[in-house]
Amino acid sequence: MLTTSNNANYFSFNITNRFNKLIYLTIYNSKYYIMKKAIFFSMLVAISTLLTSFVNQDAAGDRLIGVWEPSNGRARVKVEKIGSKYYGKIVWLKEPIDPATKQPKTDKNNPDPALQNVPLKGYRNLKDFVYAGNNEWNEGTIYDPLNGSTYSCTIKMTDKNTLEIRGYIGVSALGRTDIWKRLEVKAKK
Amino acid sequence: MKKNYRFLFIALAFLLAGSFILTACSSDKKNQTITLKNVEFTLEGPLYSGSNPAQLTYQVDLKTLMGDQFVEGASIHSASLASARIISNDSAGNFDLINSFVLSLASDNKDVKMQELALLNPVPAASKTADLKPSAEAKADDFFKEKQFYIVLDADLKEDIEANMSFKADLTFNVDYK
Repeated sequence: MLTTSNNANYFSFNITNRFNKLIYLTIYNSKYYIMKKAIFFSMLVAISTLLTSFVNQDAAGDRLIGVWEPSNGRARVKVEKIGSKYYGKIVWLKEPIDPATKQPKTDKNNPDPALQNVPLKGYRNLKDFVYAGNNEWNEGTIYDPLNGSTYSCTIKMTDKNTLEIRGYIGVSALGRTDIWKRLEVKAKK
Repeated sequence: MKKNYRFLFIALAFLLAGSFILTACSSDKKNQTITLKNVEFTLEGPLYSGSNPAQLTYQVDLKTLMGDQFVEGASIHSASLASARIISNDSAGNFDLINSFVLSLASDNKDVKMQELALLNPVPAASKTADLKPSAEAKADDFFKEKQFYIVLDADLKEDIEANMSFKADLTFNVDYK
């Protein structure tokens, strides 16, 4: 409408229009640029936070790795990691020799007859523990070689050198808790 | 009399349905032996006397495992270890320093629990191969349904060893698939 009657107006408007357009585009582009940058940085922050939490979660779970002694002091269990789960095996027995056979003890109470000859020293009695956060590992089992029974089990680390090991059948309320202490293993020279 | 006929008809219908289900379930199930050959285990030194684990990650690829028998959509129904032979690598010499071997499978899946599959105790000294005794009860089905699993070989050493030890293994599984 402004272009029809007044050329000067038309001209000035055109300049203004172009100028406006330029300003608009500059602002738009800069807005777009800032937005792009903002999205990029927020994604970067999110990814790094996620990665850090994964690494931290992993590192937190790995605190279980080490050698532990149950309260009865009759065995020592070394916890290792296979894949993303934690497993513990008997590495020391107070009485390693079977008095009946005079041979190293084997897992003679194993319900699978083919595995009754597995040496007890080296036997994995803690299996398949997953770190659940909050100093707890669950989804695992504990095996009692004295009766050949396997129980569901949760592990809670009350401090860096103490574990509460709860074995149960069915529901956690119907179980027994034992306190395990970390053993300091001296590095071999 | 009429009642008897009805009873007979129902019984016949159940029989037919039962036999149909049985046939449907069993007809296309096939059996195959698959071997994981030259699976390499390394125990990284320094090693301490007692049980030392060597583990490796196995990527499940049914196409490669089943070879010509593979058909698209094939799935393993049951799997059990048929044999496990551990072969000493040259660097390891013979099995003089080893008391026993235990072979197990493990998975990252929280619903798939570790399973011991075979053992040999004692390991004959001065031998370069050891045939482990597979458990008839142990099943490996769940592991072959995963994308990957871990094969764990525990070697119980008689004494401390500074160097690495490495072994090769041929593991044969009986597999039922559909």
